Amino acid sequence: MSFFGFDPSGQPGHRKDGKLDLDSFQNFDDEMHSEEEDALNDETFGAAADNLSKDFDFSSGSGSKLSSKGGLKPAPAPIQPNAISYAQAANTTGNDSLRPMESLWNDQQQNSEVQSAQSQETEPEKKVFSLEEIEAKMRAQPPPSQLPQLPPPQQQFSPGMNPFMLPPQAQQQLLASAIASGRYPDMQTAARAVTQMLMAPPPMSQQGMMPQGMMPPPFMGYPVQPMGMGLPQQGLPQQGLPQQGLPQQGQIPQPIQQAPIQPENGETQRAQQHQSPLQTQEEQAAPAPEAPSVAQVQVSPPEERLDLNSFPTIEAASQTKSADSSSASSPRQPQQSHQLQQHQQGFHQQGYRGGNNYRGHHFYNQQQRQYQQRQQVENLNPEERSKYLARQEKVGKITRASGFMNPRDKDFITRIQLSQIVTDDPYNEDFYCQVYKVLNSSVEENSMNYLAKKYLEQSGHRLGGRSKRADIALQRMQQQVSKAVSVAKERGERSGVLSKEGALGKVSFGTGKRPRQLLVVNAENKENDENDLLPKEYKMYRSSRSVQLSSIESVYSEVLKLESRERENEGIDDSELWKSLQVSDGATAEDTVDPFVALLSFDKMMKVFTRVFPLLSAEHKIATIERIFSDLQKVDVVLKGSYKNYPQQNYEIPKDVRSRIELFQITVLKTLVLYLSDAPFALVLHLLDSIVKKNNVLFLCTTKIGLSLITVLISRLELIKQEFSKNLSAQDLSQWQQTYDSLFQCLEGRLVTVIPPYFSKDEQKSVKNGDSEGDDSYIWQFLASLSLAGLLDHQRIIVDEVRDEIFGAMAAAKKLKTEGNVERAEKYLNNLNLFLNVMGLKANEDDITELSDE
Amino acid sequence: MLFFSFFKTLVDQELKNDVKITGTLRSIDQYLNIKLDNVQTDVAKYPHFVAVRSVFIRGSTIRYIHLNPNSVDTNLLQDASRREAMASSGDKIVGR
Repeated sequence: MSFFGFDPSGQPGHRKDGKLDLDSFQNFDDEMHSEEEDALNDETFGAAADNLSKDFDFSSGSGSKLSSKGGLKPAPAPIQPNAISYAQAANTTGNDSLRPMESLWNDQQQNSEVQSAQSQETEPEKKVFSLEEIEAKMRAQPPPSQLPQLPPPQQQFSPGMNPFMLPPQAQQQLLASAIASGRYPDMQTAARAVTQMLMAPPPMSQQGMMPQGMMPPPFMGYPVQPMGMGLPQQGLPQQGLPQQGLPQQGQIPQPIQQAPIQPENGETQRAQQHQSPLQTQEEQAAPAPEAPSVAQVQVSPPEERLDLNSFPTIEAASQTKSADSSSASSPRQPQQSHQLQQHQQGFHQQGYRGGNNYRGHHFYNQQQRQYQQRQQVENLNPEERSKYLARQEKVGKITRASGFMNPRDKDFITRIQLSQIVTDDPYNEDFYCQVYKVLNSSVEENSMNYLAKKYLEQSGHRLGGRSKRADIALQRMQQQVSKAVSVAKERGERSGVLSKEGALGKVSFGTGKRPRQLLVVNAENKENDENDLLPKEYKMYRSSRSVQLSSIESVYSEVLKLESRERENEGIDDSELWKSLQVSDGATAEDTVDPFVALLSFDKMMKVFTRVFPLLSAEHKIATIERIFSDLQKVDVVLKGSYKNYPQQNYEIPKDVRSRIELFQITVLKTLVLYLSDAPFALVLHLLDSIVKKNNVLFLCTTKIGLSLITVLISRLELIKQEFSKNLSAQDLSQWQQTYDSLFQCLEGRLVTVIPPYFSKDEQKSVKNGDSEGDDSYIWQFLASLSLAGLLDHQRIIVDEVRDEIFGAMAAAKKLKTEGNVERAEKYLNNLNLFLNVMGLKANEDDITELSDE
Repeated sequence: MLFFSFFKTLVDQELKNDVKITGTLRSIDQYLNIKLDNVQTDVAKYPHFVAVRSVFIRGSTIRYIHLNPNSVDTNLLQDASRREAMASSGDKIVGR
């Protein structure tokens, strides 16, 4: 039942809110336009207070039934006490005017209902009596002298108003009367009590206006009149009513307000049927403040509140109107008909619902803008008005759920969020972001300030409300950040696992930074030698893939550690790294390949090599290079990189191998070449020597990597020899000559093999495959450097051996040129000339001539 | 929290998720709840997204996030994950 829509449980909160409201009421105008969140909050809670009293429900606004009805209604703005004239109030929408009646009836109904727990039939009668009484009273009161003052009371209790909007005067009166009653020891308690009364849903009254039975249990706690008093009165409603009226007039210190109201009401009813109910309400309400006893005071305000709630829906309004009209005439009749009352009951229910509706939709707007709205609405034509109302409706919906959190709540949430985000160890927990920022923008500052700013930006958090206070918000956020950091530090290490001794299970808990571990691997007892425990088939050999991968990971770990030390400008000790590289371990009987060289077959290792190398000490660098060169033919990319491995595939090197060769080139080879370009003569010579002596040179020369490396070594040696020959010892030079001779011997007679068939221009062995269009310049570079380092005899032998290739290339160039592919032809000739120029020759597509200076 | 650290750098990148929402990443928190602006979806399929301009998506409801490869530093990502793994296995790097 709608009656019980009042949510008793909502009361305490309501009371509180009510106080807030009182406080904020003074500043109401100021706050009206401010968009500060604080203000909004105040509005939220304060404004809500009046509405809260009944069945306060945050979600109520979303209720479908509510919205449907609420939508239709123009926002019934509470009229500000002094702003609207009586006439205006009279003109206000019928809905409003009807409200009072509703409330009146509601109260009575409630009374009767509760009262007569027995049957409903009795209720109506009682009600009727009460209504009658009221009206009779109204008429009975002497209007004339008090008329002038009528308007104020009306305004006070005008439709939208809540009890708290009582003018200070009235409040004072209430207070005074409360104190006068002697029930309250001091002003404060009295004030509180009054406030409570105001806020409280219909308290029980002596006079029987307020049904005691109606009161939901929670209300009992409030300062309520003794039940005993109420009951008899309720039983005899007529008596109760007169009491109400009489005492008020007689006892009230400020009779003016009371008296005027009643007469006025009577008059108003006759004059304007719409307003009559309102006035009635007012009448009832008005007396309350002036009531001599606390009980009376209590009674009246609650009534008002009821009215407000049940207040305006259109449907309700229309019904109310009819009810009004009937009631307007009925007052003179001794009794109202049963029907009418029932009708009113029904209407009451509707109206009540409407009240909810209204509350839900205009919850926040209400106090803020109602007044303005009201005035505006009155000036609009119907069309504009409906538009305006629709808009209001929308705004109401939007703001319905805003402002529930006060700044403190928000700060709290922010702190929680920040404490998750902030870390005292950004380089472990936030490494990617930190380094990425450094790498990708030079300007980014990494301070708390920055974090706070960024957070504010991203979260769209407006701590300070509008932008004018952004700096303050920033400050607060900074404080939050630093606080969060210090807390994070204090918190220290958390394993995320809680295991109690003797417990069977473990409790793991997660945080944002450290998600819950689902697997807890027992890390203890790791000391035991796994080799002893594991069966033989599970033993890991060093050459097994998983062991190699884990070795590489340990290399990475060492690299990360050393790089970190480097960034911190601390000394670097590469011993651990050196150990993890296994360069000096050498091959054992189990291995076919040196462990370090085996590692180099992994992409990962190639990639990390560029980072490893600079971290090594000088002798370790040399040892590493030596290791690579002496085992060059076992390096994966060299081993698989020879075209001779793939005669069945038309000598085409498989794609995956080719891509790894490329990777090797841009990682390992690049690093080595860079190092060699600064290396001294003796070292380079030594390295070349180790390549030549420990490898199958002929095989190396069929691979791109091998050929490129040899080319680099030879040209470096030759460069040093030509430019700094004075610094070189005769021993070095003769050593170099020996090495060259041995290299040349390996190749002599088989020099053509360095040219893969797919690059060959010799028609007899030429083969077309996917690699044919590739860059063959490295071959001509090799030939060039070989002839550069050699004597005339060597050069002649070289030219002799590759003669077919030379003329093949010229022919190919000529053919391409005639086909119009000049660019490609030029490329062929240029590569060829790389080689020929060394010997002072120059080729074009037709002829080979001596290179001249011209 | 590697993922968080990673996604933090991707603000302003285009993302998609479960229902295939494409938008500009505005912010992300430690639960990988994401906020997208300038949202675009297959409106024919999901007409109710027509009027949606920005969304906040609970991280746990996201199946995939497609990223622009150009904005991902994979080497750094590898390093970061290794570092985190080292830190969680007790072999923590103290400095940067």
